[in-house]
This record gives sequence, C-alpha cells and structure tokens, in this order.
Amino acid sequence: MLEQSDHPIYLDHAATMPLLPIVKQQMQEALLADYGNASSLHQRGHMAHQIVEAARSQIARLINADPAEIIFTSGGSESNNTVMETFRDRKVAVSAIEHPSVLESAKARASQVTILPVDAEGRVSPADISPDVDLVSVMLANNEIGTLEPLAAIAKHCKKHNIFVHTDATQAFGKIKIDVRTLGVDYMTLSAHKIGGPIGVGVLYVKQGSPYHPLILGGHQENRRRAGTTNIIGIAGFGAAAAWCWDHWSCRKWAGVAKLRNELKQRILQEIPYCTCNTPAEHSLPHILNLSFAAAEGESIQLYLSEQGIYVGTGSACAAGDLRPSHVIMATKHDAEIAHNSIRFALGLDTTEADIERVMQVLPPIIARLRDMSTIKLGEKDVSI
Amino acid sequence: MSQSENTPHTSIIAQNCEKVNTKITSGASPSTSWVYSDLVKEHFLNPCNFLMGDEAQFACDAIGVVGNPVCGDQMKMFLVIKDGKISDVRWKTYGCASAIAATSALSELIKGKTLDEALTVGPETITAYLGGLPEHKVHCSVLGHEALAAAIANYRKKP
Ligand SMILES: Cc1ncc(COP(=O)(O)O)c(C=O)c1O
Ligand code: FES
Repeated sequence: MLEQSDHPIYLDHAATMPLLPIVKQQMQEALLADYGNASSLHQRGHMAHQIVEAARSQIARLINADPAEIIFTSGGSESNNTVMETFRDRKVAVSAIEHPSVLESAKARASQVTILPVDAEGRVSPADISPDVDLVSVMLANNEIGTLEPLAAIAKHCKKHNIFVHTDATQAFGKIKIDVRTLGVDYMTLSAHKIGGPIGVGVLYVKQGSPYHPLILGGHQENRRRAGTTNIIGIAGFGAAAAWCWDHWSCRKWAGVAKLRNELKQRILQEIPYCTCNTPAEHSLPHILNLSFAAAEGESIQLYLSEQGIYVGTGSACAAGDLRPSHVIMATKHDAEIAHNSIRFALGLDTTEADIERVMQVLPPIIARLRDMSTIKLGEKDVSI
Repeated sequence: MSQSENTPHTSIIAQNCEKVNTKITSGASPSTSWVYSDLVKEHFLNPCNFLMGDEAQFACDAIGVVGNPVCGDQMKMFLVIKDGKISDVRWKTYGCASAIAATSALSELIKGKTLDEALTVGPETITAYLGGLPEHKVHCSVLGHEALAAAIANYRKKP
C-alpha cells in the first residue's frame, strides 16, 4: 500500500527554500576571497563594501526602492522587531494573522495594540482601521494559508489619516511583483531564505523620510541604522538570490506553479471526503495550499507523510512548541479542530506533476488510516468545503 | 463476562507488536530525522490494538474516554474483562504521534493484567517503555493512563 519513495518531495517551501545553486556559488566565492571588514578603508574592506552595495542595489530594484532605503538585518524577524521598536509607546494596529515576530513585538512595545479582524479568507478590510493609530502592520501575503492582503487599498486608507504603513512581505517577495511606490508603504520586511538565499539575513525597507529608530545600537554600520559588523557572506547570498529572481522573472515562474497547486487542491477535494480548504480560491500566493482533514490530526499526518518522504507543514497545536493551534486558522475559521487538522503544502519551482501524483498515492491511505484510529466520527460535525 | 470471543476484531492486532516489545531493553537510540525515539516511531507507524472501523461492532465490558478534540487530543479505551483481568483491549486516539504511540504502548502493557495492576501503569511507565518523550509531549501519555482509569472506574460503577 504505502511504498517508500525513491526521492524526497519537499513541499515546505514556505518554511524555507533550498539554496539556489548560484547562491551557493557566490557565497563560496565570497568565502574564498579574503574579504575584509566592509567598514575598513583598505582594499580588502573596499572589496567587501562592493559586495554589500551590489546586493543592496539588486534587492532594491526588485521592489522598486532606492538602495539607500534598504537596511540589512539578520532576517525577517529582526526587520519586524525594528519597525515595532520605531513605534515604541505609540498606537499600532496589526492584522490577526501576522507572523509572531510582528504580533509579539508589537505587544511588547506599543502603548496600544489593535488586532485587525480578518474575513474567512484571511483578508483585512481597510474600513476596520481606526484613524487614531500611528502605524498599521499588515502582511503582503500570509505564510500559513497564502492569503494576499489588499495592501494598496489599506495604504491608501492609512495615508488619508496620516498613518504609517508596514508590510511583512517575507512570503510574497520574489513570488509576486512588488513595487513599494505603487503599494504606498513606508516599511517593508524581506527575508533571504524564502527566495533561495541563506538563512539569517533580511532587509527592512524604510521609505526616505519615514520615522526610524534602530533596534541594534552601537555602531555606524548601515548608515547608523543597524549596528554590527556587516554579514558579508550572507548578504552576498541574498544579493545573488535577488539577482536570480530579477534575471529569471521569478514572479512569472511562480505564477506557473498555481496550475499544479490547483490540481493538487482539486484532486484532494475530489478524492478525500471531509476536507476543508483554508487557502482562498482567489487572492492567494500561487504555491501555497492549506487544507484540513476532519478527524485526522496534523502532526500525525505530517509525520506519516514524512515517513513516505513527503515534507509538509501543519497548523496543529500538537506540532507547535507552545501547543497552541494556528492563530491564522483560528482567526479565519474560528475552529480549533480545523486548525489541528490542517496541513500546508508549499510547492516549489521544481515541483512536478509526478510529485503531485505521488502525494495522491500516499495521502488518501494515510488520512483513511488516521481516521480509522480517530475517536472523532466523520460527519458528526458539519464540515463544509 | 467477556463477549469478545465471537467478534471479528480479535484478529486485528497489528502484526509486529512482539517485535516492538523485544526492543524495549535499551530504549531510544537518537534518530536524526525524528524528534521521537525509535520506539515511539514504531508504535506510531505500526500501532498495536487500535480499534479498526466502527466501535459499536466491538463488544467490550468497559469504555473510558478522556480529552477533547478542541484541545487536539482525545483517547478512548475499550476493555474486555474476564475473571478480573484485562483479556483484551482496543483503543481509538485522535492526536499526535506520541498520543498514538502512548496509547499503543499502554494497550500492550496492560493486557493480561488485573484491573489494579493495570492502574499502576502510569504515565512514567508508558514514557519509560517508549524510551522517553519530548518534554512537551509527556501529557499525551498522561491522557492514555486517564482513559484507562476512566474505563476501569466505569466498569467498577456497573451494578
Ligand atoms: C511572514 C513571515 N514573516 C517573518 C518571518 C521570519 O523571517 P526570518 O526567518 O528571516 O526571521 C517568516 C518566516 O519564518 C514569515 O513567514
Ligand atoms: S495529542 Fe496533542 S500534543 Fe500529543
């Protein structure tokens, strides 16, 4: 029935993407070149400086920013924390489905945090934003269910009331076209490892003239905006990944992944009864598919799939370190069981038809087995598609 | 009185339970790809004694259920009791890998025991038998013990 796969199928690209070959190559080159401290004035320092500035430009052009508006950080989490540090003791509104690095850093620093509700698809409505907040933070795309937020409309609403706007674009970056000018945002978070760059390096875009307060003090680096000796190898990798996205029209490639994602969705909904789709039909990233399988707990599904060489994510409390169900599914579906039973497939550019076929060979018997073991009887609760 | 002899379910014990039980000596060997011990993995992938299909079809003398699907875990124990001993046991579990493994392990540990003996099989016994559980997963083994205790309490309440 269940056969061991010949090659593993990685469907967790929203957690992290494998390094692109060109990224590995350029990071190796940077490693082998005896670079200096990017701040040093001698020749080696200058070499390092050039690597960093090239990367800055490569990332800036992908979002239509000026290189001077790009600040390198240690990742998406630091970028999000930096925005909240800037708005310490101010009034902040964040969506209910933000990444914890937005939610928790806002709660730790702001004088008042308003949680913006989302609809069943995870979308924020600009009308819910109160005019008296100082900052609104709504992600461009959600990492668990893939929802695309109406950011341009949100920013337009905020500008009317002189509210600053931050968007965590960690998941959307490289997948959909992003233009900070037409979006009208003041701050944007990016992370290298979600586009095939290395883990541990990110960017905060800060629009010229927007308020800014560094999170990490004690050095003149990044124009006094982020202290710490520059992470040259990481930044070289981030630059290479951004250049790859630009050169290969990555957004077009990712848009093509939607076909396979939709096929997977259709087949699961047709071949496995009692499933709920948590990813919006429209307004979603092309590669994310989040589904819940009634009566089958997510960590168990995930580990049975892992045993078959298929790697996915889950929103189940059992798989979370803090044993809390996904706040994203709770905010959209308001149902703990749907959260516990959720599985996230995040396809990659190299996912094939054959991979989808293998998932469809392996997944239905796993769900059937877990349902057979489960205390929950199917159909006892109304599960709608 | 046991009613189980004639049910079709007496033959559905997973094939490799004995193999699992011969491995308990050294407990877990660290596995690089799993957060759980090898024995947890064994019991999760090939659980023993779970009640396949419709539970109404399984004739038993006592049932205990604990947990809540809203919290992410629920366990149900079905005991066949003969001459004061647990002659057969089945279970259903909704929950994570350690919940499934813990119930499977418990079902093996209590078979053939008197009710009082079975009650001494606590969470520590189950966890030790499985070669340890991650700290935040120990509660899953507590649930198994509670389901068993509930089943036995229900049995003893019977007139
Ligand atoms: C939406 C979102 N924001 C922020 C982060 C954090 O990024 P990083 O891992 O670079 O700190 C992630 C990824 O984990 C994410 O998905
Ligand atoms: S059943 Fe949820 S953590 Fe074990």
